[in-house]
Amino acid sequence: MLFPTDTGVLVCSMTINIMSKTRIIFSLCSALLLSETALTDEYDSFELDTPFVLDDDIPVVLTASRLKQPRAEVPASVTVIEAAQIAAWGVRSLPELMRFVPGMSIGHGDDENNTSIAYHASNPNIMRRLQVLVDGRSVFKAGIASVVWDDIPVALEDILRIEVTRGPNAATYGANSFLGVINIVTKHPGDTLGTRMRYRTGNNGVDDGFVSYSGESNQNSYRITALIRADDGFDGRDASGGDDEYRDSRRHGFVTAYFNRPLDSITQLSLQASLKQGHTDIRRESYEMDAPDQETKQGYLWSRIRTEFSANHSSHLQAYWQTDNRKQRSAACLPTLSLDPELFSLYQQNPQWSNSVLGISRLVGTADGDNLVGGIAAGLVTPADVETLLLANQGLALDITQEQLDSARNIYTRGFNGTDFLQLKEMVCGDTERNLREDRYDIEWQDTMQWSDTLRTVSGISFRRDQVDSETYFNGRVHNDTYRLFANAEWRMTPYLLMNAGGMYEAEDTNDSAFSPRLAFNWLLAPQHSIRLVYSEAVRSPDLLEQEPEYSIRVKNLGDNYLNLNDGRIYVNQTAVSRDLKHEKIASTELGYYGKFSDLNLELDIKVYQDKLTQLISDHIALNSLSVDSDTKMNINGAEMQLQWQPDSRNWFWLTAAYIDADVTLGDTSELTEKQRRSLSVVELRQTAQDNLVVSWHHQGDGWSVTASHFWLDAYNETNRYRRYEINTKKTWSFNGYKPWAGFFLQHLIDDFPLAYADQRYSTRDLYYFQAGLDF
Amino acid sequence: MFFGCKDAHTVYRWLSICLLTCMLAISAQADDARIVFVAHEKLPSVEQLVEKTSALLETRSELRLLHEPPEAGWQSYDAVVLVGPQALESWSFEHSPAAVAVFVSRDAAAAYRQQLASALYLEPPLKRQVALAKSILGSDRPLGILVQDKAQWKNSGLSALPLQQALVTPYFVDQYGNLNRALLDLLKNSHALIGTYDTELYSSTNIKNILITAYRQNKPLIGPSSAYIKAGALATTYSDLDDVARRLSEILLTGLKEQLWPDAGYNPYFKVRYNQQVGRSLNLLLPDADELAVRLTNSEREN
Repeated sequence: MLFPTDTGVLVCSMTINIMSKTRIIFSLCSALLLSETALTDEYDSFELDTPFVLDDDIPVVLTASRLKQPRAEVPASVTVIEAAQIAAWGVRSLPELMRFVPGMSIGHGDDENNTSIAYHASNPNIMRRLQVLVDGRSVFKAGIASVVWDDIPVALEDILRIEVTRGPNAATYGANSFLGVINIVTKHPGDTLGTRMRYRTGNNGVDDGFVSYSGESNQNSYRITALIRADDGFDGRDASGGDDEYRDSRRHGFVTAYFNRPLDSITQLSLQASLKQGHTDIRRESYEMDAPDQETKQGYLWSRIRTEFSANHSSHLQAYWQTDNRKQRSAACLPTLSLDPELFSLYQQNPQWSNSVLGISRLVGTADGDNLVGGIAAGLVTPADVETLLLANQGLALDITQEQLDSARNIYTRGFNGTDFLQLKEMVCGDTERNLREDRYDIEWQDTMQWSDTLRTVSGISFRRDQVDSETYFNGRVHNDTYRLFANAEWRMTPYLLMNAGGMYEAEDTNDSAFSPRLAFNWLLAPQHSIRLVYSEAVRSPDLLEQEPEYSIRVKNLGDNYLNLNDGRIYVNQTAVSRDLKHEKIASTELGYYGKFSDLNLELDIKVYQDKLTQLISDHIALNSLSVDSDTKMNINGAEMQLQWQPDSRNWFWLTAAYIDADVTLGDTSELTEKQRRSLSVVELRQTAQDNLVVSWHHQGDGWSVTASHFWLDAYNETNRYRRYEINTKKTWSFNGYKPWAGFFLQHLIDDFPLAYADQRYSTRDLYYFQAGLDF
Repeated sequence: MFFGCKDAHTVYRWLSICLLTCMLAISAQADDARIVFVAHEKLPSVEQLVEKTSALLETRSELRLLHEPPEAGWQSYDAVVLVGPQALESWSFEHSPAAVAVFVSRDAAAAYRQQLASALYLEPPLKRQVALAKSILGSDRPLGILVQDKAQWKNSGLSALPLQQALVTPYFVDQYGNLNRALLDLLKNSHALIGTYDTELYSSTNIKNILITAYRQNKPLIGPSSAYIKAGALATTYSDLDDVARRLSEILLTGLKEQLWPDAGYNPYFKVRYNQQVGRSLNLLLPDADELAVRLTNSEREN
């Protein structure tokens, strides 16, 4: 099982529940003692200079528990993107990097301008089935489960490497490591000494700035990075010639600090802190008078203490707090009736009837409308009459109780002015506000132990509290506590066969407990060639908004209205009453081959897999969703490969390909309209391409470089083909320790199809930007 | 091979080594010579060296501590082997027989060039370490060397090596203000750091920083000596006690028999050592150490 350490290296391991505890401890201790003695003898015999020339013994610096696993022994499909590749590709954002990972695709949510990444297949509206970690800190929001890429305060320039585990791996990376894990490791501040400045400007409103300074004194090192990133987003379905007709611009900025110091010869302390602010344009709903743009403020504090007790034993204690504030305000005008508290309650019992009550009120003034409203208000009609009428005129098959009809009667009666019901059509204006504050407190202890030459374990325990304060979504403050216990072990059964086994047990307040096991075998055909067989299970816990919503929108500062309200809640709302959502589940089996052909400097990884996903929640988690169920099933079969070739020190190639065959089975859709059912049936596959090929070539000249990439996605969004190429060039100079550089990036869309939804397209096929920077 | 130029002097040196080895094997013995090894303390490794050298020379040699001269004085010996820099620095050459220094660095021996009959350097030559790095990583991979300053670069004799052809670039720490900035620039432009035998630069304090920084960027350290392998250096060439005894016996034999002391130099006999765990972790397929040592030896002889 892969395991991230603070240097980002991958370490391996498994659980030991076969032998008795005593026997294990005894045999492991003996093995440890033996191996240490053997090691000392082996090295002393040839360290002839130590007693003569070197004052002290040279310390063992790279301990067994800290070293990376050889790639052929990694029990998972992993794509590693290094800093050099990030610089070569020249892209602006983290999601763009994920295009280079086989089987991953980029989509875009339609409501909040959030890029979503799916591995194989997933709903693009809210990205919540991939775990994303930055230096061990989960940026997966748990209140409203999602990863918001714009909110991650990490500059691409500060990233050392991104390890993408393609497949579920909760046993190592924790809860919600569902379809895969994107593990971002930032550079140690001691590795970025000096000042770095960048500026980027281009079409589509690209306007990015970056400045970073790193210094050190004694053995302390620190870095402060500030970044601003802005663009105009998509241009809309009908825009052309560079016009932007889609409201989704964004401007985000942050300052992040990273400090590292040794506390003593075996202990390292790392601290990080960050403040971030952002503005995202959001399109307005029909009842809103102006756009409910999103203003966000985030921050986090993170610390980790890592101790290396011996060459074979290390531990770390990590704790962090992160906070996320988001506000959306807009003026809105809507029917006074829609703020009637009784209609609000009625919606909780029978949402479709509530919608009809409002719909019928709009007919006041017509003969049919006056008759029906008057009949209901006077108590002259029966539920059966109304049901028959709605079926005949609207095609709606409703089931209305007498009590629910009486509620409508009360609602209409309040709009009667003594003469008529025209007041029911009254419009009132006010201010809407959607607020959300999420806080996470997380503490984790992890222990890595090399018991012998053949056994290594990683185990740990963690506690996390997710707390959300929001009148809009929860009508107050709610929280969820999660306790996690995990263990992984790597056992070299024979020199050619490795077994990795592990699991995570998770207990939490709002969902049932869950255990996620993982088992992998790596059969080494040769030192750098292996076949792997991996079986892994994981769950995604329904979030607080899915499981326990009290979601409604309050309108304040209302004008004069017949209900005499100063503020009120829009009747459409969500409550937890009907929810009993189960964990989303995945069981993934893969057969893979990894080989490194050293003579050619070529690495090849191929896998075939089968993912079985059950209890998926596919419904849109929106205010007006009529039902939310965990009953979608998805079967995904496919194959993917990745090839990296470095023919010489000046050139490298990157080639990935994927074939995905996904099949979705919806659960109970009886409450949905035909349109909603059609939309739901395609939502899980909206951003999946059946065939996917990415090829990239980089050439390094003397003081210049060029990188060209081509993307080809077929049967994307069911029928489309999406092709584009990118070219990034860079020229560097050097004067007395100052290293200025300049670059140009061009992206050309060969096909003009939108991403997941029709508005997600650009009005030009060429997106470009200029970049300039200075390092000193 | 990688330095590209054939050097007549080297060829001559190797021929003479071969000749001497043959001489040793056939009959030549130094049985009538009296040799003393002088050290600052009686370490097991020194005792073994005395034994092994004596066996090769088929003579009895003595091991004495610095402050324990024989009654007849040091001049009663035909040759003295000064073991380690402590013995070398404290030695009084005034009443000394021909002195050969072993277990000393090139720099330490250079300071006593006039007084010493010969010396065998402790460290492997940089050229050999570069050849080792190229064999592991590929011949077209740029490599970097850390050097304190240009003066040291000149004094060390490294500047005379045709490093540019071998894509080896020196990074001078004093030009960067501090070690880490020089190291970062080196690691950015090179596929490996070749350690030089500078015990100040590669001190036990600095080595931790150097190794951790290098490995964070997946770049290995080659050398400077076998003592650094356990710490986390990927590979080095090194001469073990057998190699030292073998070369020392040749030096003594030539010096005593022919009255012609070989120049101070590096040990032509060596082996290759890896930290296998580091190699695996860097995803490198390491060539067989014994075969590589033979290949490097042959390559040095050809040059």
